Amino acid sequence: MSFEEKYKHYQNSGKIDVSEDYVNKMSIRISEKIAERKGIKIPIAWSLSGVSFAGFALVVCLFVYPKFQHDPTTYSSNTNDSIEKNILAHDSGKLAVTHIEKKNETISNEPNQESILEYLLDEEYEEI
Amino acid sequence: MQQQISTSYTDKELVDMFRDTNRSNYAFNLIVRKHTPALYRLIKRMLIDADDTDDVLQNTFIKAWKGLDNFREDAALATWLYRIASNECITFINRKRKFLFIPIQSQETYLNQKLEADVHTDYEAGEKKFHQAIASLPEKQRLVFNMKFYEDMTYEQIAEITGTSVGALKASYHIATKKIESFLQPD
Repeated sequence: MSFEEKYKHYQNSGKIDVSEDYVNKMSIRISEKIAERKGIKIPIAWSLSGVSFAGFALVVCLFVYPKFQHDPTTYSSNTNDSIEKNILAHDSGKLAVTHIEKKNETISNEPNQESILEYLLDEEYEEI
Repeated sequence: MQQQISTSYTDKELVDMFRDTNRSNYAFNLIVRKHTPALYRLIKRMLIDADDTDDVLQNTFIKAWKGLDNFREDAALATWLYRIASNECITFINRKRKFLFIPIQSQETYLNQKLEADVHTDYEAGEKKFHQAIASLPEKQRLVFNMKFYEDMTYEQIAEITGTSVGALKASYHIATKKIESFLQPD
């Protein structure tokens, strides 16, 4: 006689019935748990967004912003489509302001021949 | 009435309905109603305690809800749910063992206490000893035994759920029946 045949009566009596009432209660319980989990997701998402933004702002302040700070007297770079004021101090104490418009040109601090001549012929120039 | 509605849809139809975001809540509710009885029986036989069964059943469906969008349908929905429930039972038992510091040999004592305290089931004479014999089995062996003996599943179905080969399952079931018969022998 097989095991199942020998203990068949326990097989039948061991059947577990699940009532409709239990199914209803479990269904409601699970729905509530799922709704609860969906509700938690939104505050977490907002918190993570806030932390990410704060971290991004910190990175900008610490690393990116300083790159835009520069000493105009030692300026020497290649820039595209920008107009810069280059302030030159000279021996007479007068300031000559030259406007420089750059388009993919290397900027040199040294004035060219024409601008030197122009400067020397300037009426306000006084030879010491 | 609700039970009739849930069983009128096939599992494939319920999964497709779940993937429609406008009907996902309704579909999942029907899935819960349709599969609660079978999963409850499986879990209750493993854990015996009614409260533990409710908790594990809830966890099973929560996991199913999370994973249903990615369900590949290479197995039947019922098989997939059984697999989740089985894993949740094993996880629960292991967690309880660690949390309560229950040594492996006392797992049987723990389940026997639950059997004694179970007021929801009326046992015939000798039947309680039969359940105590089942409780003495290691949990994976007990799982296989319950699925084969009580749920009348085929070895192929159990293999799909547990991921174990049919040959290993046959051996496991055979050993389980021998252990139970030995337990039931008069001293």
